[in-house]
Amino acid sequence: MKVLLFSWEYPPHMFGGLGQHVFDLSRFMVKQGAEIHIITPRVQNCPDYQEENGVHIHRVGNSYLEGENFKSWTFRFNSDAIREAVNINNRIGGFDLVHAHDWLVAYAGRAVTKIFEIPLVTTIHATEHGRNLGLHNRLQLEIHEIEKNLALEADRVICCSQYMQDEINTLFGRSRDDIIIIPNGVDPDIFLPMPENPRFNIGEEDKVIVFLGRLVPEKGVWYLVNSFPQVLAEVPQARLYIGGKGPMSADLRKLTQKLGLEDKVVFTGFIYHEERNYIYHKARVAVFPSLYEPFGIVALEAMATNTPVIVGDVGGLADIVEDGVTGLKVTPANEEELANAITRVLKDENLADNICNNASDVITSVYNWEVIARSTIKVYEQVLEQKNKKLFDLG
Amino acid sequence: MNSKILLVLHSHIPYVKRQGRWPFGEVWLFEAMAETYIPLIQAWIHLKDAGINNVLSFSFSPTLLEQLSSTYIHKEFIAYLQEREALALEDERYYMSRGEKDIARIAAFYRRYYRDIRRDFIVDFNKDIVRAIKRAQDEGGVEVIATAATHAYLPLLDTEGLKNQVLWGKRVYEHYFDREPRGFWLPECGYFHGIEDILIDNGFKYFYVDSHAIEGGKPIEVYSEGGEETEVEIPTFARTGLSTYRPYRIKDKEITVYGRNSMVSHQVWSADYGYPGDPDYREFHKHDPRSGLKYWKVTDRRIFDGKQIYNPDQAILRAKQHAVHFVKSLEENSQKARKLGFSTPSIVGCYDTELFGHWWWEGVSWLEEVIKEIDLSKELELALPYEVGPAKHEAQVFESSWGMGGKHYVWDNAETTWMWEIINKAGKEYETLKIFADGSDIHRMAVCQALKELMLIQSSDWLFMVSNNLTRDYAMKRFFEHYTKLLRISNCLRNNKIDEEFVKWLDQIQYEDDFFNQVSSGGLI
Repeated sequence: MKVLLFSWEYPPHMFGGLGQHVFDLSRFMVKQGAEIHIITPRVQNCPDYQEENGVHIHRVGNSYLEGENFKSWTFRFNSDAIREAVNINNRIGGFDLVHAHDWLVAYAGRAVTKIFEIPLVTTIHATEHGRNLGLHNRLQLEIHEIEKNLALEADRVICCSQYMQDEINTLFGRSRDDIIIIPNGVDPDIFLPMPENPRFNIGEEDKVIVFLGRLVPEKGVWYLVNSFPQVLAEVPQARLYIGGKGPMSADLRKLTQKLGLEDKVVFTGFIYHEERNYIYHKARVAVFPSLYEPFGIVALEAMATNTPVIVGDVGGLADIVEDGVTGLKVTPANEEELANAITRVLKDENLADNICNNASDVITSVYNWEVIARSTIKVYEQVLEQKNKKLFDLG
Repeated sequence: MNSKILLVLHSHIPYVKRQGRWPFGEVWLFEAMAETYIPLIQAWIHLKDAGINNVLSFSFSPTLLEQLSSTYIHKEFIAYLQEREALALEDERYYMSRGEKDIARIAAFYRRYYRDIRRDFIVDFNKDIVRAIKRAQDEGGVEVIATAATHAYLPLLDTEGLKNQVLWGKRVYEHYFDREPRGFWLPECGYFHGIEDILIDNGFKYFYVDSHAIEGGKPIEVYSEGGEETEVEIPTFARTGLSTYRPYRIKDKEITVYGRNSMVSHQVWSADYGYPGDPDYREFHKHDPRSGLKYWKVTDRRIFDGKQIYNPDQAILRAKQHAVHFVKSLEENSQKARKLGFSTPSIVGCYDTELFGHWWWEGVSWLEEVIKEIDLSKELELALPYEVGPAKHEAQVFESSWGMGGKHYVWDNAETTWMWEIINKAGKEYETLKIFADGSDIHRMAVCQALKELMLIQSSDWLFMVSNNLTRDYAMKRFFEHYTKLLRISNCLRNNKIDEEFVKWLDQIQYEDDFFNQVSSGGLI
């Protein structure tokens, strides 16, 4: 099976979780025998064509420059992606199917599948409506419209959670039967490497609570800081590590000062790879008290590192965590409940161990890229079968 | 001598055949046929039969001519009219059963209207609107002028693209009207220095520009309702001391240019002062949620709620009053011109044909009344461009258009920059793919189809829709699809991959985008 993926992000061109997702999905699909080509924007110091883990990577257009009109850049990229798709298609004797990731590549996906008469599968990772808790300006309305038409025109839509299925169904009117839920995956091996000289000095006695994510209101980190004094009252060795950056950064530091917690709360800035692994390794609990979350890959990552998780009972997080079994769930924006949950995990080692064991089972059986790649290929097969049937019916 | 009134109606619908029906696509064409083209030609014939001097210039874009001549469109149009008639009947019964007689009465009117249009179309026109137009031109009184092949916005197009747009515009004209066109309508009045050379090369004698292109000053600013995000600073063009009361010869060139009269345009078009916004006229935007038919009057154009029920008699009366008012202003205008020393001034009014009937429901009645009133006037007479006589004065014309801001903004702004890049790339792609073609039939067919796809990419409509954020997705989808088709043809020619699959596919897109077929042989390809 020859599949063309359009994706705005692909390592090292990464902004959110999309790039990692496409990277893992494609290499695991190759392991199952699929021929995968990815068309993605050019990145400095990366070749235009590259084969990595058996995946064919084609980079086209110009990399996005800060300050450039983003929409124009996106559509221009679509036109370059189409040109490349036409070239490859002829060279390899025709793609069987196109898989487009998110609205940024919607027009390339739609045009190429229409003109070459092959099926279109799309993964909608998040919606503009969800990201902004509504639609508030012309650009957001436009993106919403593009997402909608992509969702309606694709032969199948893939999303990562029950929550996203509901959102796509209600926002765009696409039938639930056509929206397939395939969760995101996590590869536990990538959390194993540790730094030689850790940047943080975490004491043996410290009971580390960790939060990782963008510092934006929807992540609920404000409530976490506010609940921390209550945790300290019960567990004086508790320390809070906040990893990530974002528009709320300054306000959060002010809040910490106001609460007199400067020496108990550490703002690490953006951390990744070994440093992230180190923090998880040291942490007694990971907390993601989000108010909106289409999927919640961070919770899976924490679970993959054997760290017990506490999550806001929303969106994809609510799907991932089974309360009291693979983690704890709390009502979003409820500081009291959050503090109690954190204290419980820090104090009750049995509970923490149980949660970690159960979480580890789920990580290998469900959120496993091999399983996900297999489910994705199954969707492709169904779509192709449907198309062949249609052709057969037409005579 | 009476002042000469030159009315020019420019008709255009993008190529929508087999590219979606509703809400975007063929219904645009059907609405224009049912509400504008057929009623307008009928009115023209009635006036002529009544012996009224009835002289108009029309331009019809090649994409429109091709669609109007398509048997597929004929069939679909009849189905559309039957559908509308049935919907009107349902509405009539529904509103009658609810005791809403006023609406039921209008529904009954629509039912008859669509039935009559169907009859006219089948019986009077023998389904051939273009033939009816040709007959009008052959009998005299109507002058049909040519325009760019797919209504490209010419000032920003590359030279090869320009040549193809003008040449194919002319070829399609000759095919349908069996004579050489004299006049050329620049889409959107888009003018730049040099376009006249291509027009002259193709034998054209005259074209039109907006008033500020000749006189300077502030553009009429037709589309004044841009949102805050599309607001544009309106430039002021240097005053030239020239006037649109007379045609000019372009400096050192053998071609005549006519300038729109700003007053005449403003009165009809303007959202603030124009006639179509009158409270008594039928509201365009509000429609019945069940049938899509329109039962309300403008009432107050600034607010959308609280629209009152339409009263056709009142509206027709209003159209008559507006016609009288309009002709009176023409007379005043003409007298003003005489005072300025123009012994036989020309007053040029240019409009989109679809304004009459489609956008402005009462517009056809208004136009009919205007023609009757001018016929009675002692000051004015309707005229065709060549009746004005040769231009004695020379002028240089500003680069301009009739769009907001008077230049290229509507088609060239932050929203559309990327589209122009693709249009230019597509042009280069086409020029390159020609090199790879040998003389074989299949190669020739592929090149022809590539040119059609290129010209569809060049349509100004997609730019306009994206700028105005109207039916944007449809426009972008079409734009990318035609681009992909062009690239596929190009790739196959370059790599000499003309296999069975390609031939089959080419056959299919020839069916999808099947226009300009009669002119596929010979000429600048």
